[in-house]
Amino acid sequence: MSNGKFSAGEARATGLVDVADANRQYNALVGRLHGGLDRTNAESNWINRSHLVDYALQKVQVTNGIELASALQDNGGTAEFNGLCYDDYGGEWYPNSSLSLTGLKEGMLHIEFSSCYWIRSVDIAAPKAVRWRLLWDGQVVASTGEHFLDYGNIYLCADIPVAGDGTLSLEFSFTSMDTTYDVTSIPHFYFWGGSLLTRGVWR
Amino acid sequence: MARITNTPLVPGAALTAAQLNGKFGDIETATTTGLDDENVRQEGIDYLQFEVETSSGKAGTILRNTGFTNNGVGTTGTPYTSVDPADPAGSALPHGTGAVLSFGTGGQQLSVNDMLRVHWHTWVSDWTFTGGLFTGGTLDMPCWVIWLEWDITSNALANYEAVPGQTAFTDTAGAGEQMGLCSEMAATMVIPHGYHYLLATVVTEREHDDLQLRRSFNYVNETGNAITVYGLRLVIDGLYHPEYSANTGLVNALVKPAAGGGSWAGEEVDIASITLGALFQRTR
Repeated sequence: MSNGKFSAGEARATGLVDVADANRQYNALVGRLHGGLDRTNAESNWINRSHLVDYALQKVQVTNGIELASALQDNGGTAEFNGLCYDDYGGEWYPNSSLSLTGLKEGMLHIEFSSCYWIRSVDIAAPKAVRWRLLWDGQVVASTGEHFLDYGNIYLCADIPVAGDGTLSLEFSFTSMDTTYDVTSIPHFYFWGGSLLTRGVWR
Repeated sequence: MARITNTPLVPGAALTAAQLNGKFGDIETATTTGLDDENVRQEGIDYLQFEVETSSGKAGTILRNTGFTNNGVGTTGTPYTSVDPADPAGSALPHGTGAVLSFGTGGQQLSVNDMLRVHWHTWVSDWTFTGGLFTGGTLDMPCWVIWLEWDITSNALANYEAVPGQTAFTDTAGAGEQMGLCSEMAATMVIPHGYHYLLATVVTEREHDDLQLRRSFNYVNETGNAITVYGLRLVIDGLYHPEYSANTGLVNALVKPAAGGGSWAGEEVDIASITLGALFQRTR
């Protein structure tokens, strides 16, 4: 990329002013000002927020209150959480939440997810564990290992290149039912207080 | 766009000083506060032109301010004891010299559409079953809760309240009980009080060994008014159990039993190191 330096030759100091030369020099200067300026012409250290339109550099979206999908919340008459029962869940990855992100440009997307969880453990004969993962347009971009505490806090983070708008999905996978020990109608798992942060950065 | 009308010099006509001055005056006029994106070539502006803050990086273009604190403690914990329902609930976590993040005399402004991001990490070093909690029957494991509070009143830091979307665990459940709704736990960290295991065929409880826990909180100010944050702190309380019942309004909640025969007071957890970090940044 050429720089913005004005490089048209000057008229000779001892010569008479020629109309063609004068017009050529002047036209070259004006032409440079009409769409030819660049970083070599501009001063350094002056652009601040007041010079930028919204979303010139980034777009941030925060979604709070993410919890176990309502379709999986059941209680079975227990005094515990309204949570995941084997009446409604058979195992493997479940698409819990989906978020369509718009207004993104080609660049990087920073993703964070944090949440609390509970696993029923009083029926310890059949131990349980849960995993989460984040997907961008169907591609896994971050995942946890197995969480098995009675209560815990999870944190997922990823920075990925994106071409523009897309869909961010949150999935979890819980231990399948133990047909010997598990009761299908009581809750075994619940997560709540989830916060999903996305930040598209393109400059 | 700053556009310059270019009337060429005419061959054969006398060239006067006024004509020349006029032509360069046109340039001066157009380039004085008139240059914009149409005068600049594509990708013509670079990082060099951005106003930077060389000592901290907080130029305000995206990042406005940061804060970080820790309590200067390693793995040796301070015990916290579970108590019966009270208002306000919980105990502030500052011990040692940290875990309260102050933003000075003037506080830090969270402008409209600005975002506050808080991350905290804690080392839970020990638990003590002291109150007979698990004797006499099988009990669903209870938990401790740590939640985030801020002071948006003054730099006296005497008026902390739960951050937006966060309960202070003072709602009423059943008679004498207190609770927090799970829908209001945007800044809650949960700590298991122990775990169950099978000893022969008997379900038995035991304390964990050390646990390191982390949680984050994100809040975008969409109130329409700027908020000045003077301080952030963490509060711990226990013990709570999960409940969904008529007492909780048929929503998921963490409930603390009433004082008396069913009390869970007297249990302990030791909290060792705490780190707390915050970012104030633009979202647009």
